[in-house]
Amino acid sequence: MSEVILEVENLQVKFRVSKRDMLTAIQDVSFRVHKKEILGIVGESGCGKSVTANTILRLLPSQTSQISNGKILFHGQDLVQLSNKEMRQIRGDKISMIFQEPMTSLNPVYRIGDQMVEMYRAKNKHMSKKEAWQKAIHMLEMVDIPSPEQRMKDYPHQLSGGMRQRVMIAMALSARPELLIADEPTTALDVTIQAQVLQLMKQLQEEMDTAILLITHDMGVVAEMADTVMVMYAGEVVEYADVTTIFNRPLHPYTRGLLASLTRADRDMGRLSSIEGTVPPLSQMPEGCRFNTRCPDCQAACKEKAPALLEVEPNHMVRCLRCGKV
Amino acid sequence: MLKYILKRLLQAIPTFLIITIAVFVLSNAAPGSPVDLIKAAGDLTPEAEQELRVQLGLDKPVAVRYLIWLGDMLHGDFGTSTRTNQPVWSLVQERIGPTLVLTLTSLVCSLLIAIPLGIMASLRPYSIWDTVSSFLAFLGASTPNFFVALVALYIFAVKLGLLPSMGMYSSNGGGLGDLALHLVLPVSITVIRMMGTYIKQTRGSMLDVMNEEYVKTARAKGLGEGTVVIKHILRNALIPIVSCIGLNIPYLVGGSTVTEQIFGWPGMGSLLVLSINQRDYNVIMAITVLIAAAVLVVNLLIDLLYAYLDPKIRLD
Repeated sequence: MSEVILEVENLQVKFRVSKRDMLTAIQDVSFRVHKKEILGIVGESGCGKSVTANTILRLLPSQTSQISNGKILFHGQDLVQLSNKEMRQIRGDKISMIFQEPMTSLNPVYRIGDQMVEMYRAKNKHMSKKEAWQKAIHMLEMVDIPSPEQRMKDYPHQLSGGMRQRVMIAMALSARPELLIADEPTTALDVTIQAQVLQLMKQLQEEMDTAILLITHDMGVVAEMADTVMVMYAGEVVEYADVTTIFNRPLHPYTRGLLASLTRADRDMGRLSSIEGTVPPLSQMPEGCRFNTRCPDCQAACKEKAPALLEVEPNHMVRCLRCGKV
Repeated sequence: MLKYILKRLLQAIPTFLIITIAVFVLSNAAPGSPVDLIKAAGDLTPEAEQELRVQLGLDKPVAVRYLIWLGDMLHGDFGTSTRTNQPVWSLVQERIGPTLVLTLTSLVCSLLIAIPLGIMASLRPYSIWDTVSSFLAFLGASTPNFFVALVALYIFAVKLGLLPSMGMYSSNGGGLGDLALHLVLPVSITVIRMMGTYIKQTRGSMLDVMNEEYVKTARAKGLGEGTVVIKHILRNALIPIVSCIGLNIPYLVGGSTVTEQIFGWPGMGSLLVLSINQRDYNVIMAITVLIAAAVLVVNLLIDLLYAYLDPKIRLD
C-alpha cells in the first residue's frame, strides 16, 4: 500500500468529571491512514469515535479532557507534542474536518463567503480579500453549488442542510488537505441528499488525492465509501480490517451484531435484529471484556480477562478472547 | 429591514398612548389637587373655588381632560407648573441634558467594565477569577444603592475630600475635567448596581455559544484563539447581551432618579422628586411621559441593533 500519512498509536483520552476524578473515554486506539485511503470508524453513540476524531485535531477542550497516553504521528510528527500555534498551522491546511450538523456548523451571523474567505486568509495573510473571494467561488463550483456568486452572499439559514454541508466540504477542502476528518457528515441529511453528498466526497477525494477518516454509525455508508474499517466499542477498537473482510468474515460478536442489524432490500429479513442493551457509561465499565454485558457468546473467561487486540489473520485485528477459536 | 423598522415604529405608538393614559389616570386618581393645596393655604369662597376649577380645566370630565392634555402635549405644551407658574417645558428642558449625560455615561461605563469581566469569567469558568467577578456582581446588585452612595459620599467626598459631593459643575464653573470629576461618584454607584446583570449575562451567553458547533468549525479552520473568541463567540453572544441591555434600560432610568437626588444632580430625576413633594402634577406627568418615551425610543434602537446583529431577523 501507499505511504502512511497518519499513524495513531495507543491513544488514550481521559475526561475530567470532577476536581479529582478522570474517566477514560478511549484507550489503546491504534490505526493508520494511508494516502488516498478512506478509513471508516464505526460504532454506536458513546463508543469513542468522535472523541478519536476530535483528538487528532486536538479540538477537545483542554480544561476537561487530556490526551493521557499515545502518539498521533502525522508524517512522523507527533501532533500531541505540538504547541497550539503549530497545531493551528496544521488545522484546516494539512488536516481539516467537517461535522455532523450542517445546520449548526456554520456561523449564523456571517455570510457564507465571509466564512470561506476567512479560511483562506487565515492560511495566507497576503492573499487579498478579492482573490480569496474568487477562490471561494471556485470551490463552491467544485462542490456543485448552483449560482455560487449569489450563494456567497447568503447567510447559512438561507441554505438547505445539504447545501450547507456542501459549503462545509468546500471550506474543508479549500486548502487541499491531505486528510479530511468527516464526523458523521451525512447523518443529519435526508437519504437522497446523503447519497449525493457521499458521492461528491468520493469524487473530490479521488480528484484531490485526499485521505478521509469517515466516522459513522451507518454500515451502509461504510460499505459504499470505505477501504478499511475500524469498529469501536466502549472506547476501544474491537475489530480492524479492510472493508471486504469486515463484511464477509466479521469475527467480533459486536461487528456481527452491527451487520445483522442492517436492513436489506434483497432478502426477506423477518424481524429486524438488534444488539440488546446500550454501551455502558464510562463510569460503569464491566470487568474483563467491555462487551460482555451484551455479548451473545459471553463466557466465564470474558468476565475476568480483558482481551487484547490481536492480529488473527494478516491485516485483520480482533479484540475477543474467543476469536481464532470460533 | 425597512418593513421591520416600520413595524416596530407602529407598535410603539399604541404603547406610548397606553402609557399616557396610565400616567393621566393615575395622576388624577391620586388624592389632593392643586385646588386643595390653595384651599388649605387660605380662605377660598365656593365661587372662587369653582372659578379656579374652570380656569384649570378641572370641571370637565376626565376623558375630555385627557384628550386636551394629550393634544397640548403633542404640540409641545406640557402646561404650567403649579409650583413655579413657569411653563413645564422650560423647567424640564434644562434638566434633560444632565440626565442624559449621567445615564449614558453610566451605561457606557457599566458595559465597558462588565463585558470584558464577563468574557474573562467565561473563558475560565469556575476559576478564582470567575468566582471573584461573580462575588462582585452579586455584592453590587444586592447592596441597596442609596446606602452605597451615602458611604461613597462619606468616604470620598467628606473624609478624603477627593471628589465633589454635589452637583454637576463647581460653583466657579468648569470645563469637561470638572464635569468628569463630578461624574465619578454618581456614575460609579450606577455602575456598581448595573454591572452584575451584564457580567452574568455576558458570561452565560459566552458559555452557551462556546459549545456551538460553529465554534469548533472556527478552531478546525486553524483560526487563532483571539479571532475565535472575539469574532465567532462574542459576536454571537452579543445578541442576548443586547436584549438584556434593552430590558434593563427602565431600571437604569429609575435608579438614576435616586442617584440624582442623593448627589444633587440637576437632572429630571431630582426635579421629579421635588415635583412629587409639591404635588406639581403637570411636571410629574410631563417627566413620566418623557421618560417613558425615552425608554420606548431606546428599546426601538435596541431592536434595530438586534436586527443588525442577527441576520435571521434582518432578512425575514
